[in-house]
Amino acid sequence: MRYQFYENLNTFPHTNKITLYQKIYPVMKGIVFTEFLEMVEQKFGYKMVDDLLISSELPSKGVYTAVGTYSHKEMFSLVTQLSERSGIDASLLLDTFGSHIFEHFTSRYNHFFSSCTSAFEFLSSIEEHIHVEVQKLYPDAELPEFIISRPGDDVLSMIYKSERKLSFLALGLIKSTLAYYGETAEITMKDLSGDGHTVEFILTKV
Amino acid sequence: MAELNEDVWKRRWEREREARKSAEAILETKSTELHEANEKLRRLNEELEQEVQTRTAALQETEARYQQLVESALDVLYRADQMGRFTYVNPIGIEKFEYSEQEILGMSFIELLHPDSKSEVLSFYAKVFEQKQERSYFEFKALSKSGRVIWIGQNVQLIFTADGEIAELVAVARDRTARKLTEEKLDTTQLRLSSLISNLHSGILVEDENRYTVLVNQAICDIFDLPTSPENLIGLDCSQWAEQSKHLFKQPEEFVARIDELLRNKQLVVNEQLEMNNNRYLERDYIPIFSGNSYLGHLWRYNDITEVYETQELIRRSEEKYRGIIENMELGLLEVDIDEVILKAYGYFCSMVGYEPEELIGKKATEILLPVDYYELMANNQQKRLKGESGSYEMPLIKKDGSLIWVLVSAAPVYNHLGEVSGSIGIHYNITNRKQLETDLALAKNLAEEAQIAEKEFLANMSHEIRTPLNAIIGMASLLYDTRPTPEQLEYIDILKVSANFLLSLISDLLDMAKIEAGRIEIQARAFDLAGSLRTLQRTFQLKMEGRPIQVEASLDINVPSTVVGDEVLLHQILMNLLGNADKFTEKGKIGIRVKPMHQTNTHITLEFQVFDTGIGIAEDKLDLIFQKFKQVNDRQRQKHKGTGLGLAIVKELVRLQGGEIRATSTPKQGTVFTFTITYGLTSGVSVAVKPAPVLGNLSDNASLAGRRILVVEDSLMNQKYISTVLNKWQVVFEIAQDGQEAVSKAHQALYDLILMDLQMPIMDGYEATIAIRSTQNPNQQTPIVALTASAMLDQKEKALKSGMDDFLTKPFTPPQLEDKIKEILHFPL
Repeated sequence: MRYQFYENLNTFPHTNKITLYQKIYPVMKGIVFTEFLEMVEQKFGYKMVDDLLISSELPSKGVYTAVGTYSHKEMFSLVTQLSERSGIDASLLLDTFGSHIFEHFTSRYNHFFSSCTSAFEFLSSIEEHIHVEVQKLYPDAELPEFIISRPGDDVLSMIYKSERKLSFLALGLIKSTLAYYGETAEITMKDLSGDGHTVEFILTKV
Repeated sequence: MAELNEDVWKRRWEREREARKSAEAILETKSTELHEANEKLRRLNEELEQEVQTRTAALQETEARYQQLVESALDVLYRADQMGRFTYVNPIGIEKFEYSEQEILGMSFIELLHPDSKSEVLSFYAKVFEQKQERSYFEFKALSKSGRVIWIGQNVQLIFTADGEIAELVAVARDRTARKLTEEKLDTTQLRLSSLISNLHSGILVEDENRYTVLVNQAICDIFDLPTSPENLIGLDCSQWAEQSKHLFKQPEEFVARIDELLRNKQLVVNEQLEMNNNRYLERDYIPIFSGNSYLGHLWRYNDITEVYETQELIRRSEEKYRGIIENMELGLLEVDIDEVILKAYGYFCSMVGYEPEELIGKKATEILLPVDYYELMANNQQKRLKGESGSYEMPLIKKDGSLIWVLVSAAPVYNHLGEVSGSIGIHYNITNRKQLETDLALAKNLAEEAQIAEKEFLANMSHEIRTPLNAIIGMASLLYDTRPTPEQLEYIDILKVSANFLLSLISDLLDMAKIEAGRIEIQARAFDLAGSLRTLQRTFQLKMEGRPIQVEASLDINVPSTVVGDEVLLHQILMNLLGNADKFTEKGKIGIRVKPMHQTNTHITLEFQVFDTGIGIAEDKLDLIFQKFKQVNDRQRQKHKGTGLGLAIVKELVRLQGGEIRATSTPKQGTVFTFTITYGLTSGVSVAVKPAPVLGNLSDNASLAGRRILVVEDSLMNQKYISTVLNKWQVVFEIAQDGQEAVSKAHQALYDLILMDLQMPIMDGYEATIAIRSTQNPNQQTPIVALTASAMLDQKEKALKSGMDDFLTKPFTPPQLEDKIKEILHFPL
């Protein structure tokens, strides 16, 4: 009986189905692009935005919408171009972008934050709670994986795993989180894979 | 922030527009997908709901079925935990143990055990639990709430947990009470039977199929003089039994041989009698015991019947004695049951019917011995036997050789010990010879009676044959007077007439006597004018005596009523005879009649009549003769007085017929007196119209008959001529028919005022013709018919009236007699 139950489910279009294109070419949600360009416009003016879009040879021609998905390579091109043009390190740009997008998250998805009382609690719930919800909302979203552990009462270990190697974006978000809950912690980053795929963040409350 | 040039704005605007469109397209697609997904979800939901409902219903149904099965089971079903506490008991269990569901759940099954069973049940299930025996069966006694004992046979299944511990037990318990009770009853019955057998008066010995003793009682030890107790005999080999005990019997070798035979045949044999050396008698039954077809042994029953045997012997001897007596009395005895099946045929009976006893016993007596005609008589008698009545009757029996014997049977019912009729015994006495004699006598009587009938017929015929021509003679003689005869012819006619009348009176006497002897005289009791009658006689004789010195007297006592009830005609005939007799023997002096009363009651009067004369008288020694038939007092003086000699005999008979007596007294040469008595009825003061007697030769006025139409039916030419002449003279219109047939045909053609019908005619007689005329449509159906016959026989007159005739005229008749009759019938004033 239970077997048949599964069978029936299989006939239903899988909500988490990933297209062949996405498998070969990892994609990124449009909100990341629109928020990034928003930040560039705020920090450098639309001229910078226009320059980035023209010089970056983007398959999307720089036309982004929050509800679309685009190759994550375009993000790298944009970040790389901005770093060249502004002379600011890409990691710092991403760290800053993390803080920027956090603003967006708090205003848009406040209930995730209000249901937690501390930064550690919130961070611990990302993988099993927030990502699950995000996946429901955006089935084609590719999310980084976090492995959480608590080596001590004041210590939180987060191992970041992602094809897109955006660990600094993560760092910006972690910092903003601590700030949101009014907490301070010492953050140590360890590149476990050596290429930015797998990075461990160790947060130690001060 | 540096001013943006137009190109940048344009590109920005272009990008924004493209982004918007792209977003719209994506949203459109998403929206559609969402809608479809929604729809599919909704459908899935519906299907799921449906599926859930179906499965739930199926599940409920299955569950209900199992529940029903458990609830309706006839056996007690229960579950109990590892401690033996009930967790479920089905309704039949609740009903059987009489606890409510609430009460029984949580109770331990140990609480239901009967004290007798408790320890064995506990030790049995302790072992089952210890050995973790998955299935077990045990029978024990339990008690219901009200204390009723229930025999339970229960199957218990242990249910184990995953780690092999006993979780609970499931039991199916069957009520074995009825079976247990039956078993107990059987045990009791067995006990009773064996004690019965050991206490029986009869000796009982039961052997198994190998001839070992199974059961034996004290009586066997007593009968066979065995100095041991029955218990010691159980299990012993009996094969030498007969050999060892044969010395007790009068015929030892036969005893052994018979037992061997019985054992070989294995057939039930009862009531065999054995005589023992000590002068006692035994009765033996051999009863083989079979279960289905298998032989399990046999039972011997020996009974000491010495007393019974001796009594029977006494009875048998007594019976033989009496049977011998009866057999020697030439009486044949036959015993039958209620279905007439012969039970016993005694020797003499067998010799009577020529059968051996074996040929009769078992046969139906009626069928083998009785002619079919007598079945009904036998059945009637059988009915009487069943009612317990005895009876005797005569009947013939068929002998073995087919000949018949006649027997007088005296039969009586036989009763059985319940007092019911069980059959009958008949004593048969051979009456064949007597019966033969009876038959011969009956034959002789028949012959005699036939002869008598023939004689009577002869007389009747003779009267016809003689009186018919005589009638013609007298009639013709009367007619001759009308033909103006010469004196000489007149004298001849007178002689002719006198002779003819004399002949007629002779014949009348003979016929009267014949009638009297045949008992055919009819006494007609009518009121009549006695005085007138006597006067008429007196005048008649006075007329006759004219010219002779004889006076005719008639005297009537003043106390005699003038009208009495009786037969005038017979009185007339008696007086005519006696007066005629007086006339014959009287030369001079007087003759006459005297009447006086003798005795009178309110209704009757006895009269004494005397007819006297002053004639020659009769010698006293001859007085006895005068009333005898054909006897005449012969002497010279009487020789001229011829007659039949019947006159006084007829008178005597006529008086006797009317209940009177006659006697004669006489003195020779002085006269004779005849005295007789007759009793008459008295009228109640009403006088009768006396019909005047017709006067001979006085022809009345004939003109009144002129033109009347009469049919004369007459075969005799002489009579035809006589009647024709008379009728012509009266100017009557008439036709003559030669016989009855012609008469019937003429009656159909024309209407007549009267038919004169002769009775004895060829072709069709007068009776038949009358019946034909009366019963067919014709003009003369109502026409009066008067019979004309020479026969004066009473039965012919009755026969004539019965055939439908109106009146009767005896031939010969004179013309005035005929005329009177015609006028009477046609209602002429006389």
